[in-house]
Amino acid sequence: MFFILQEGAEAVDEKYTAPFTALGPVVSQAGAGDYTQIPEWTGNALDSLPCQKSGLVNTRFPIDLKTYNTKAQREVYDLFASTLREIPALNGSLFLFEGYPLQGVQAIPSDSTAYPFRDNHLLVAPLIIYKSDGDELEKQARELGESLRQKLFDASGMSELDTYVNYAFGDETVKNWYGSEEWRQVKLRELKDKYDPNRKFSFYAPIA
Amino acid sequence: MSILGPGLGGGHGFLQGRHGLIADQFISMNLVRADGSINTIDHTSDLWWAMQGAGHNFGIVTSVTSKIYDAEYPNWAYQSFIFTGKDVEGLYGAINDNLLKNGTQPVDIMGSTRSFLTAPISIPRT
Repeated sequence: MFFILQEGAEAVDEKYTAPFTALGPVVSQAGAGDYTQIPEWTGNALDSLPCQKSGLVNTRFPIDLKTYNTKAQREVYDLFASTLREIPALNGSLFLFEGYPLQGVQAIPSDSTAYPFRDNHLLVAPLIIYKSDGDELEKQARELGESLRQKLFDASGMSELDTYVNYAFGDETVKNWYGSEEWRQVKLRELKDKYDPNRKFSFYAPIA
Repeated sequence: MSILGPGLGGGHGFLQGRHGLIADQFISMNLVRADGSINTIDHTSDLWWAMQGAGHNFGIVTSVTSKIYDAEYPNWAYQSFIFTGKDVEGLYGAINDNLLKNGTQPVDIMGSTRSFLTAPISIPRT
């Protein structure tokens, strides 16, 4: 499902929708309302499936991209679909490709905060969802997520794998999470040594 | 889902085109540090830089003072399309050419895809 949201409009401008209508979607739906309804439209509301406390494992393998490589998109789509068919225990999984507007993020100078990826354009992540059922399934889930991410990275032309820390799986590197520039890593380590020398706060994506 | 958790790692949102990341809104925060002390920190602290993107590495944030905004344009419109696998190349090519445009996507537009194998997770309510 692809969706376009437009702020301050009664209907999404045809100049944006026409190229997608021209592709011949199976279904198209349109509507309008209040900002607070966006989660319903995009499947992220409190009563939407991914937000239920159903005891499922939700793992993400994020990668920032600058643009879509259509050949790689085909490869990951095919791998995603075929694996979900072969391993039904994984077939509740999703693959998210998010294109947020960028201006406000890029208005802040890149070096002024620890957030490292103001120049990236797309936030992409397979969301591999499954009911915990032993080591083999966990391994299959992780292999799927990593393979999908790797294919996108290989085709991206980017020199570094940038992984949005809030979606991180956990096996990425500090450069993947906090930026590949050496000055960022040095600055974070210095602050970590000053404020948390005994590494008490190293539960998630630890700097050290 | 809170805003503070994601905020410590940046924090994307639909209005980031207008206002930036969640972390970009923080003015000050109360932080319990590793030594057990609690301080209010803001941009005058050397730690402030790190709290905006790597914050979970440095302590427990017990409260935050943040900028908030009136919604300039409270009304939004959406259009959703369901495509099948044959349209993958066409779809992403169209997104590149018409929305993304080398990182110049309009400030009032968000375009996203979610792929799934079976039925949609939710049907948008009109």
